[in-house]
Amino acid sequence: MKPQLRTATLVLIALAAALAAVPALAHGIGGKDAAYVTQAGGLHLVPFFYLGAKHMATGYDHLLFVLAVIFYLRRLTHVALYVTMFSIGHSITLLAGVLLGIRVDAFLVDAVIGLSVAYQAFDNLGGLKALTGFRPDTRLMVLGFGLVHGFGLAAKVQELSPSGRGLVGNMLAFNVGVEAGQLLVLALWLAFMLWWRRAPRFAGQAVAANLAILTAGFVLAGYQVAGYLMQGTA
Amino acid sequence: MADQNPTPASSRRRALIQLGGAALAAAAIMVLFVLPAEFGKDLTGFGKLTGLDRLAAPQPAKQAASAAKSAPSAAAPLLRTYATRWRTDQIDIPLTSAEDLGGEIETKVKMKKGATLIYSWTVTGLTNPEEFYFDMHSQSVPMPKVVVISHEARIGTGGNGALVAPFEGIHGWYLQNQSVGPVVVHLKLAGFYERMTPADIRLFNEQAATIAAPFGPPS
Repeated sequence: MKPQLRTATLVLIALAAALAAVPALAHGIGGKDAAYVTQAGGLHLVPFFYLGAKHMATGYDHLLFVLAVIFYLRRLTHVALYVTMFSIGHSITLLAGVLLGIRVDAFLVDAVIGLSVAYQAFDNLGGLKALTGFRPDTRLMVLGFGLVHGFGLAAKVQELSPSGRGLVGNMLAFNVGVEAGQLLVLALWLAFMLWWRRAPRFAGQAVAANLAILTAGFVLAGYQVAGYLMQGTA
Repeated sequence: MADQNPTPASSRRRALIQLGGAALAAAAIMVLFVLPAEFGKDLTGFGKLTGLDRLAAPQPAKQAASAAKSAPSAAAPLLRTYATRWRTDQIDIPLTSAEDLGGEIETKVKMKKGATLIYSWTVTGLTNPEEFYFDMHSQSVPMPKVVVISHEARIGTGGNGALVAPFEGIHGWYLQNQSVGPVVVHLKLAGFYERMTPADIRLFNEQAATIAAPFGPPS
């Protein structure tokens, strides 16, 4: 357990460093980008495509979730299946959320996204089966978490499009961007995992990494819950 | 269906230890780091000890914005006198259809810190009052950072009020016609300010951008 703990600590430190480096990205689209989009108004396909891709490729909650999902997937067809489930899930709620004007509190959605990271990591540790004797079909769980992630994306698009004008086109461009960003992230994680799995001590390091992801998922959830409870006071 | 995602076998005890350990570590990170740094809730004193809690101190821009929104405090003088010449302006700004580039504009005046601007504006030519958006904001000269405060940003077709400049800089409106037809914004100003042409505003932004990059102004 000792070397595993050491690796877990290192991974956590790396995560914390990444977190400190991109504070504005912690909760969607920040500063300059938000100012641009709210000022521009109207239909802006390429900017929204870019923002969708950027949101996916720089939001560490999504990054960790994708990593946790593909962690033990060995075949590309399986990776494709899981990613499709996730995409179907978040596309449904992104489109429905924006079109029907459903607004879910962004803090609560992001808290559940944090828990989804923790869930996947705990599942990777074999913990679910050991603890409950039952393991829900991971494909369905990924679909379900995709639905939740989609509400988070919908909240971002609504934040950025103050008027109804161009909203549908912007949303579709954003969604296509999200898929593009996701493929980019996925390609990098897959290359990384292919390399890592061949390492002689992968089994132990994998446990450590998932422990770190589990912890990070809890911190992300806690951070958002604290944000929800202290809205307006901080 | 066959399980496509095989994971290592684990024991109940091991799973509980892992879950509990991660939860404990997460709780410690929350209490020691995240709560003091992000929310100013320093339960253990660790934030004060390490200076983390200062990260949660309100940003100057936020402070000024909330101060501007709240009722005038006892410290704010009721009478403010100025050496600057008093002036009034009546400006009609035509905005073309939202489909054109001329559908949006920045109109600003230059003011010293503490100067007062009294304003009143309306829009004519709109068929749907939901189709006009404005953002009234102040943007500072570099000090050394450029601070931008948005006073009011929403859909709306006019407003009356008075603004006390929170800092030296440019103050005014981003106006956006979101309808297909042309509209005219009628703006009346009075107070202690200097008019700015669009070229002046561009120049101001370029100067600010070279000094304060990459924290550029939003316009």
